[in-house]
Parts: sequence; structure tokens; C-alpha cells
Amino acid sequence: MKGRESFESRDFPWLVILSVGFFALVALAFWREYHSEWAPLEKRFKQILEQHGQIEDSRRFSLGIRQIWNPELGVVDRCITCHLGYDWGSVLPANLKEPFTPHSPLPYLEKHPFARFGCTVCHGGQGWATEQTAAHSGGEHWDDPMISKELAASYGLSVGQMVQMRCNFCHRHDLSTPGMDEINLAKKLIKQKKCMICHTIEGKGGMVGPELTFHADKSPELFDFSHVSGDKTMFNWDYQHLMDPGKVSPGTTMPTFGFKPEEARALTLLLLSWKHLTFPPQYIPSPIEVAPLMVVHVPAEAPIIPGAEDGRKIFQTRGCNQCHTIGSGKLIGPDLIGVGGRHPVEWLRSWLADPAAMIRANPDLAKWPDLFGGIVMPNQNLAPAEISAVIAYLQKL
Amino acid sequence: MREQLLRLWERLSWTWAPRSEREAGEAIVQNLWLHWFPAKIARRSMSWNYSFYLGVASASLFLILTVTGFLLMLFYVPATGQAYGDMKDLQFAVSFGWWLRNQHRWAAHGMVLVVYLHMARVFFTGAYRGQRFLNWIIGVVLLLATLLLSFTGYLLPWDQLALWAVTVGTNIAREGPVVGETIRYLLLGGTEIGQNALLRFYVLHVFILPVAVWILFGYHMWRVRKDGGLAAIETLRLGRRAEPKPVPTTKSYSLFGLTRGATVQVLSSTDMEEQDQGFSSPELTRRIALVFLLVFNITLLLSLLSNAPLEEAANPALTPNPAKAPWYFLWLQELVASTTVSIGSYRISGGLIGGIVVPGILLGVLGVWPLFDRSPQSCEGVWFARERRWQNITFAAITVVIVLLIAVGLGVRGPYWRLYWPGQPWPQMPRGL
Amino acid sequence: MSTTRRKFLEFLGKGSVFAAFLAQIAAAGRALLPNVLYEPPKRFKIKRPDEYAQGFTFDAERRLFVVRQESTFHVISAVCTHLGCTVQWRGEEFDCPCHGSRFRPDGNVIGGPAPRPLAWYEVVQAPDGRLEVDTSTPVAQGFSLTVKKATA
Repeated sequence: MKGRESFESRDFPWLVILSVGFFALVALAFWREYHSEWAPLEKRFKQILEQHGQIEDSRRFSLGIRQIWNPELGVVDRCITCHLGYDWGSVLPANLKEPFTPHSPLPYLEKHPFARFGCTVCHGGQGWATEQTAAHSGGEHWDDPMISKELAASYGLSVGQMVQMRCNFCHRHDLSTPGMDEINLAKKLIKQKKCMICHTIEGKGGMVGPELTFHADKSPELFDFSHVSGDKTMFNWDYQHLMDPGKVSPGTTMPTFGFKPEEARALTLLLLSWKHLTFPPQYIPSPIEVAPLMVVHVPAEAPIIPGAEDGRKIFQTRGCNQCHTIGSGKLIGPDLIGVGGRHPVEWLRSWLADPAAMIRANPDLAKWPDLFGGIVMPNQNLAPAEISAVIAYLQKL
Repeated sequence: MREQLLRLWERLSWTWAPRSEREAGEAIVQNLWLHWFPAKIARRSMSWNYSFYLGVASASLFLILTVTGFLLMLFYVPATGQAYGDMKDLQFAVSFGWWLRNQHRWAAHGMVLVVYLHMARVFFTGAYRGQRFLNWIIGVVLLLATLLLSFTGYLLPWDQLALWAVTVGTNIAREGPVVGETIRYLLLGGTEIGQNALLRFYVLHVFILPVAVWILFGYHMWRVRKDGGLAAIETLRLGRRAEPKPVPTTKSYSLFGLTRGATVQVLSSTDMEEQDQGFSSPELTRRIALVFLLVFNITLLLSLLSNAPLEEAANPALTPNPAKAPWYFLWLQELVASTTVSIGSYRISGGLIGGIVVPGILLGVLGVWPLFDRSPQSCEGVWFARERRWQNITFAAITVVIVLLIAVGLGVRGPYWRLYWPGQPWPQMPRGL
Repeated sequence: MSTTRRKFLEFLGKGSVFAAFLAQIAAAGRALLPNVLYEPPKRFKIKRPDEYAQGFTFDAERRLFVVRQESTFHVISAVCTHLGCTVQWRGEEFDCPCHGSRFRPDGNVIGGPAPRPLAWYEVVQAPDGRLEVDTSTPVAQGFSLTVKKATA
């Protein structure tokens, strides 16, 4: 270049500095990406598998983010990226240190397989996260924290007790569910204390107090916390309100029921479980206490009648005893005690040969099906000799 | 083999590092990327202290936004049921997803700040006069487009901030007389903020607005050439010692053949003294590279230090408390919250006054300001020229007011928009567990 | 061809293209204004009169308040007239969390930047007995519905 001063001498050092800085920052970005919280944990777990004799699995163990995905329930749970031992309960010891501890072998796990339910449905927390704080408490902008020992303890509960709140999101309509002692107690209390005289729950009840059907969906900001002690949480509000309604809502007509603290806690768990959730029908739990749709009949032994053993055998083995009792009342068909005296032999013979034809042919038998739930006795296709044997037995009843 | 590679490298790089004056001139006409620059350029234009390269910084930020934005498109679906989850995936599950999203966000904030500073620089140097007026208008439009890009962009995460910010923004639009309701209907594709709104904002954000900005940016650069270069050279032009040569007849295009202007030669190199000149390649290109690196490094550093926030998933049944706009719109929020006036029995909403009228007036005044600038030509391209003192003070004063309003919104407004002085703690907002 | 005829034909041609071009722009603009909306209907049924407690009941999903006094009902919008946030009922007044607007129980503005009172909506009793609300157009303040047989 010609002799005037160029910028080069002044710019060049800065260009070098910024270029090196550029490289350094990109290197830092790579460092951050590859120094995740979970990577060393996964490496450690691989060793643990080996130490416990799971050589094949250890060899096949690949590093990477793991997730349980079930779009039907909206579950995207990456907890298992760190909580790697969750499904190894049959092999790894229960006292393995967190986060590798296998899931406690709870009796209802079989009905709630991990692959379908994930983790956060029961435990809460932020399933999307792959960092501990974000996953557990969720940080500032996550309103569904994991139910940790500390959180439960702050309300005087164990994790197993507080988690029942989440069980009841789906098991709301059970009268009583095994494993949900606190919620079961609360449901009993609702009935016992007759809460629905003043509160509407699911369309039924009174209107002295507010509707409680979806109490857990109400915005906490709409509640008056000025007389609530401790943290301003709905748990505290509900619990303290149950223990002393007049203190939390001055001037209220809600009586003080004198609940024991554990009762008020149970009721609070129940109230906070009442959310408006939608899930596919196959996830609706079958009610635990089933209203009898059908009593499964175990037939009693038919009475032994000397000389009519063949008939008795046919009665017990050809299906007669599924619909008829002998002396135990109407089942599907009439009780056959004394049938020998009600119908002559010829009648019984035609009947057993073809019951439907007899009903068609005889006007006074026309209303028989109505008496037995619309059911016409099916033709059992008995051979004539068999019919004779049965009649011999029936006659003696 | 090595020979061939070296020669290939030589061919790729010679235009960026010419070894002689002749090569420097050739580089400009042989490399498409460089042909926008003149072969020789006034050194004053290249000075750091003149422009602070704010224009280059704006363009660098927009380039970063375009590239990170394009990559983000591969991980984001503009569907109300999926958008939020995709944001979480970017943060936790996509390799370098945090980098993409954070740098995009920081570059966006940076761009709003830098384009404003760039505009301030142009104003304070009086570089909008005469034939540069059209470019000033294009610049104002680009500023508006930048703000719209930000606005459409932050609906996309579909979190609480997104939903409620757009609720407020579109309700401001509705306050517009006569056509307000229709404009809102058009923007949202309906009466409520839902899937249609998300899709329209998405298309605006990833295609319509960026394309408009790139085209306008190209035009903006083109106008710089047609206007004879940066206004920094005007003082040179006035005080030149060399005799002006007659303007050579050369080709000079305009977009639709509408505008006339100077030739594409900046103050002709033959009109400038030798010592006032420099070579675009490599002197200017080196500085541009420097600015780009600086901008990139700053946005990457910020991305490493601080994650882009994401609030709770959008919930139409619950308004967050407080519900604050991003910092560059906080001054507007202060305005709309305090400019509801009663005239007799009529009450005019702050949405109209603070949200449409005041910004509209500001924008309008900004646009036509050059027409009312009567200062002498010697003020062009000069920082804080004496004769433009009052103009500069006015601009600075308005800027200070805006900054103060932003500061109030940031630091002093709490739940229910009440004032909480620094040191006064906010009341604990109740939560579920 | 004579000059005038040619000029006319030229005009016809250019005019047609120009007009057609304009029409297409208009069509594109019209397409952008939707005819069907995937939104909940603006006129909808809520619960039966006797399923509402006395006083103010907040419907978060529909963003309105159902107000009952003995057998008389009216419906007030929960959408702040300033910029559309959802107001909160605080026992004696409505408060808006966004910019601090406050409203009396009848919807009139006490303070803050809200320009208009909260909207009242038409409420009628549908043939099946349930209340039906129309949020598409507000009605005059004071509009209410008295039902014949509201028990409890």
C-alpha cells in the first residue's frame, strides 16, 4: 500500500483478540453442553450395573437423555435420565444411593406401569427438565413442584401421604381405594360431616358455601390470606380454614368441626386433588368398590336321590345347575324344588325336548319369558334316554 | 495436492486481503459481496468515533437472528398444544438448544437497543438531510419492523407472557378508530387469541417481516451509495481543497426508476485528497468483521451466563400478577396505564391515547423531522453541531423520558401495577403448594 | 386499425389486467378474514338458576361473573375494559392485576385507566330451564333476569 497510514496496525490486535475470544466462547459453549448434570451419573450407573453382575446390560448401556413418553396422558418424563435404577428393583438393592435407588416395590405399581404413567403423574415436578432444580421444584415459573420429603414434611405429612393428593386426581370417584388411607379417611369424613349440606360437589349439595367440585383449579390469588399464618399456599389456607373457619374467614357461617390435625390434613389433600382433568377413557380407573352387576353363581351340590343318579349327573354336568337351583330360590330360571308335582311327565318330556316350541304352541306359556328376564330356556339337545333319566330325577324333587 | 489447495485458498481469499492498490480496486468489482462498497472510501466514514459502527452492529445482530431463527424453526411447531413443550425441549433436550434460544433472545433485545442507538447517532450527526431523507424514512420503517418482529416473536413460546402481552397489544389495536376492530380480527384470525393468532404471528415473524427487513435493509444500503456515502464526508466535500471534477456519466439504478440521485460513486476518489482515502477491502471489511465478532461474542457470552426465561404455560383463565411487557415496551405500558382521560362525560381509553396516538405522533414527528431541520449544511455529518443544539436536546430529552418510564416499569411496578419503591418488598403472591 | 380504436383496445386490455390484479388482492385480503371460528360459541348455556349461590360466582373459563340476588340474576363480564386482563372479585370491588383498574360491584369504574365500566351481558332462561348468556353484544347496565321458580 502507498505511504499513508492505514488502520491495519490499530485494528489487527483487536481482530486477533476478538477472534480468539470467539473461539474461547464457542469452546465454553461446548464445555457447557457436554458437562451436563446427568452424564457423570449415567457413567456411574453403568459401573453399578457391572458391580451387580449385570454385565450384558452394562455393556449395552448407552449414554443419553432418557424419557418416558405417553402422549395420551401428556407425559414427557426425563426423570429417568438420572433416576436410572427405577425399574431395577428386582436386581439392585433397595438401599442404593439416590438417584439410583430402585422404585419401592409398591403393590399398585403393576396397575400403573412406568411406560404408561411416567413419573410426574404421581410425583409432580417438571418432567421436561434434565437438571435437578428445574426437574424437582421447577424454579420460579413452574406451579407443580415435586412432592419431596421436605415439602411434605413442611405440611406435617410423609411423601406417601401427600402423594395421595395426586392419586385422587384420577381416583376421585372411588368410594375407597387401597393404599390411599388419608384420602379414604377424608372421603368418609365428607359423608360423615355432611359437607354437602352447604357445599355443592359435582352438581349436588347446598349453596351456603362455595362450590368445591374443582377447588384445586381456583386461583390462589382469589383467596384472602390475611389471617393465614406461614407461607401463602392453598394447603395452608385450606388446612387452617378447616381447623378454624372463623379465624381465616371472619364472619363465616361455617361451623368449627373440631377436626383433629390429621383429619384436617386429609381433607386438605382431598380438596387439593379436585382438579378438572381430562384423559382418555382407558385411563379412567375402574371403581374399586363395584356395585354388583352380576353375582357369579357357584352352584351347590344337587341333592342325591337314590335310583336317579344318572339324572343327577346330567343336571350337574350339562349346565342345568347354572340356571336352576333346587331349593335355593329363583336364579335365572325357576327353583326346581317340587317340579315333579307341578308338571306331568309328558309335559316335562316335551319341555326338555324343545322348550321354545312349547312356548310357541301353548298360549298360557306365552308370558313365561317375561317372568325370567325375557330369557327362553335354551335347548340342551338331550338324547331321549337322557331326557328320561333327568325326568326320573326331577320327579323325585 | 497441497499446491492445488493453496491455490484454491488463494482464489477464495484474495479479495478480502488484497496485496496492492490495484488488487484492492479489483476486489470490489470481482467479488459480488464486496461490489456494494466503493473501491476507495473516505477514511472519516470508517472512523469508529463517527458512527460507532452501530449500523453494522444492527446488521450483524439481524444476521445472527436470521441464522439462529432459521435453526429454531426446525425445532418449533406453531401449534397451541405443542409450542410450549417445544420450548422446554429446546431448553433441556436439544443439543445446543439452549444456545440457539438464548442467543436468539439476546440478539433480539440487543437489536432493539442497537437500532435505537443507530437512529440516535444519525439524528445527532444530522445525517438525515437533503437526499438522505428517503433513507431516514426507510430507517424509521426498519425500526418499526424491528419492534414488530419482537412483538410477533414473543407470542411464539405460548407461555403466560406471550398470551397476555398479545392480549394487551391486540386490545390496543382494537382501540384504533373505525378500523381498530377489523385490524384486531385480521391479526388474530378471530376474536380470541388461539391457534389462528399463533399461526399468523408465526408467519409474520419467520417470513413476512424478515423478508421485508432484508429487502428494506438492502434498499437502505443501496441508498447510502446513491446518497454519496455516509454524511461524514459532507464536511470533506465542503472543505475540499482539490478542484471538483465533473461528475462522470455512469449507470445509476433506482428501484422502479422513480428516484433520482447521485451516481453510485461516493465522493469521487479523484475529488478526495490522497490522505483522506482508504480502501474498502481490506480496511472497511476488516472493521466490519471486527464488529460482527464483537457482537457475536457479546451475545454468546450473555447466552452462557443467562437463560432466556419461560413463564408458565399460557392460561387464559388466569392473568399473571404483575403482567409486564418486555423492557422495550414497558414505556408504552406505562403510557397506556396512565393516559386514560375524561373529557366531559366521555372517557377515552389509555389504549388509544398511550398505545396509538402518542406512539403514532412520535413516529410521525420522527419521520418528518428532517424536513423541518433548517440548520446550515455545515452541520451535516458533525456530532452535536452547535446550530442543531436544540434539536439534539429535544431528541435526548425524549429518549431520557422513555428510559425513565422503562426504569419505572422495571423497578418500581409490582402486583396490581402498584408502586413498590426499591427496598420495599413485594407482597408474597399466593401459590398452590 | 384506427388510432382511437387501437387506443380503446389498449385501454381495455391494460384496464382488465389492472382491475383483475386489484380484485385478486382484494380476494387475498378477504380470505384472511375468517368465516368460521374454532372458538367456543358466544351464546351459551350455563347452569340452572338454583345451582348458583347467592352473590358473585366467578366462571374462570367463560370470564364472567354470575350474580344472584334471591331470584334475580345478571351477568357481568370479567374482562377489564382497559386492555383485556381478567379482573378479580375482592368482595367489595373488582380489581384488575394488569394496571390497577378498580370497579364497583355494578361494573362502574372507581379508579385506574379503565375507560368504560365492565360490560353486562344478556341472560335469559332457556326452555330447558338453564340460564343462557350472550357475550356477543353487551346490554345496558341493570339488565337482569328474574326467574320464577328458583329454590334454595
